[in-house]
Amino acid sequence: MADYTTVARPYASAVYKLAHETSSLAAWGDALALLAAVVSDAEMIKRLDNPELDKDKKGEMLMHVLGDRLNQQQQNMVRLMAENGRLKALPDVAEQFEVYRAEAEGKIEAQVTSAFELTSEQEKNIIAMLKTKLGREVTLSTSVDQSLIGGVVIKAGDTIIDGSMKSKLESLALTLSR
Amino acid sequence: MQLNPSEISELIKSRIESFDTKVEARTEGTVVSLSDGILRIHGLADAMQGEMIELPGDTYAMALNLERDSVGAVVLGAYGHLSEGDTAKCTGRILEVPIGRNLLGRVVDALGSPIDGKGPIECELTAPIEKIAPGVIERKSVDQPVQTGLKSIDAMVPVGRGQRELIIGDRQTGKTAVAIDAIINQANTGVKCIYVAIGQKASTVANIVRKLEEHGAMEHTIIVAASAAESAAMQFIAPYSGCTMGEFFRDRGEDALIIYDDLTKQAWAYRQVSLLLRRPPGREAYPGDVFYLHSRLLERASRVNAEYVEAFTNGEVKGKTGSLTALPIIETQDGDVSAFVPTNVISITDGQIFLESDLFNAGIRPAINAGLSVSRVGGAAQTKAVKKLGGGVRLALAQYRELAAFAQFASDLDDTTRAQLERGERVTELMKQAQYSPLSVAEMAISLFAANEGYLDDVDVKKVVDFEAAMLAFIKSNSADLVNTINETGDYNDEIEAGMRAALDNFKANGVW
Repeated sequence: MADYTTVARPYASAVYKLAHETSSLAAWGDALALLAAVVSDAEMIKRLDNPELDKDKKGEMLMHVLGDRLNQQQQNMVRLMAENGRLKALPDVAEQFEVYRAEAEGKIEAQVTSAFELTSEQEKNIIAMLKTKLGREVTLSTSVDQSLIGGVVIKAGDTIIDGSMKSKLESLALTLSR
Repeated sequence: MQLNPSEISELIKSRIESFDTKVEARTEGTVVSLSDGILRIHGLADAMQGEMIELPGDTYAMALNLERDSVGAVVLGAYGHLSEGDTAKCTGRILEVPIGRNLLGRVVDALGSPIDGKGPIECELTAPIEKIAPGVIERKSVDQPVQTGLKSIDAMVPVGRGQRELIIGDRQTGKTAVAIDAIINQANTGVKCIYVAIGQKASTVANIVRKLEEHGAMEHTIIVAASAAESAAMQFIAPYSGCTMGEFFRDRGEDALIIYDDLTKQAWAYRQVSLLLRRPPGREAYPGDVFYLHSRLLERASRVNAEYVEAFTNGEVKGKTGSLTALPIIETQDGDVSAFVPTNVISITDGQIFLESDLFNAGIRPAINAGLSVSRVGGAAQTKAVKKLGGGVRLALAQYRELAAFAQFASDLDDTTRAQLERGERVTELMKQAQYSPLSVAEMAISLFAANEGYLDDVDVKKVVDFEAAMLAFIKSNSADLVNTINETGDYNDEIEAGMRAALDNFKANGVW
């Protein structure tokens, strides 16, 4: 995973610059998401890992699956990455691309996991709190995990704000066992 | 099932009441790979160099390599329960160990946790293991002695408070013995001792603890042990932990003595960690910063002035200087002092005590090579009496060795040479000293005086050791006043000289050996 992040960064940065210049950020975002999904498919991984297929074949194979849904530039990118043997980095490229886009737009996506369904009031509060803390526009994606017992866990980028009952009990257990 | 004392319900209640967790934003990462105790963690974008990283199961790691997308870290302790995909959290803290007086008399591991089975250690303070040494302005030059209680060291290579004196020699030459004797001799001097055992057998450490207890030296001693069974990371950080514990005393206007036994093994442990972190190997496969590894550690041994102590304690301790004296130990292979790590440490320290296997096997113990051993700053700190009387010993011994080698081929020796040889033989005998029997300043002064003034010349060489023992016992019981005066003042003047002369004449006339 970490290996591909480093590899993916220059591709993502190049694609972002290109997309920005041609103002086709949304189209590129969709295309990359699609490519990432295809490359992550188990059958596809098997083929990409197959040493008997040469690099060009792998690119052609991908093109064959998605050919008509990609424009010329996007096809060129797939060919280039195939030539360099980096097709497996596509999910990371997509992820990095989204990070660049969010950064430029001053946005950040926060995943909120809570023990119970959040009310819209609570969501608003969390958004307002995160906005002052992170200094960016925040979009929330929520999920429910009953094993947290109570409280919420907020994840925005690398930062974790863990206010769940579960983690509190865990650290209490640790203190008492010392 | 047995209950622990800490499991009384009232205690549990109060601990739960006082338990407080603050919800704080922390950076999280994922363990990508784990091999030989080296973690590669993805994420953790704002990790600091040397930061503690929290892992599942109350385990911690130390961040050593900060790269663009990942962090290289070493697990401190066991890592059997960790696996790829575990989450790793930043703690925002540099690795810290507990410090304080309560550590005295205890055996702790490299993280300061007790391993002697005597229960938890109550320490209010902790301090980071890596600290920058005091600067130029904060220091004071070395002018007080650390008495090791070994004649040959205190007379020939004196050690001052705040000095770094290397003990170097092959295996089995008595390096640890010298250090342990120095610790034993610190009882009643107020000097606190820290013994850091790195990569040694646990049985050796247990033996040392027992010996120190036998001689009543554990009360002023902290033992930091990272035995051979512990991970390389623990062996690598143990000296820094010990140093931090010693700095507690230095910064509060007290004196401390720290022994690193030994830095060769620490360099090996660091080499292992570095190679596993894929840092480029250099000479003897050590990484590029192996010099800095030891120089930053030994630089922390220092004498600090009263202003520093006052500023550090916010004016609580006034007019007192503090010191941390270091006796690092280096083990050489077959007497090779020009290997990488020995040359480094020799160049960092303020002198070295060179122990030789030939001398050791010839029965000269401590097996100090008088010619190669030096102390660059200790002379200024030497007790006056010992300095005055022992001044000639080092030179006399070195000359004797040369002469002895030369005289083997000469059939007919002139009287001066013969006298010099005979004096040399007796001084060599006199420098022998049994383990665990440190001498006071007065005893040392009397022995040296006897040698200088020719009281040994008519004693059979084989009898010198017995003669000395009998002489010291006789004088201690018959001239207690003289002994006390020398011990208290450390001075040397005409009165004391006359006193010693009278005592020795008395012994020669009436004593038995």
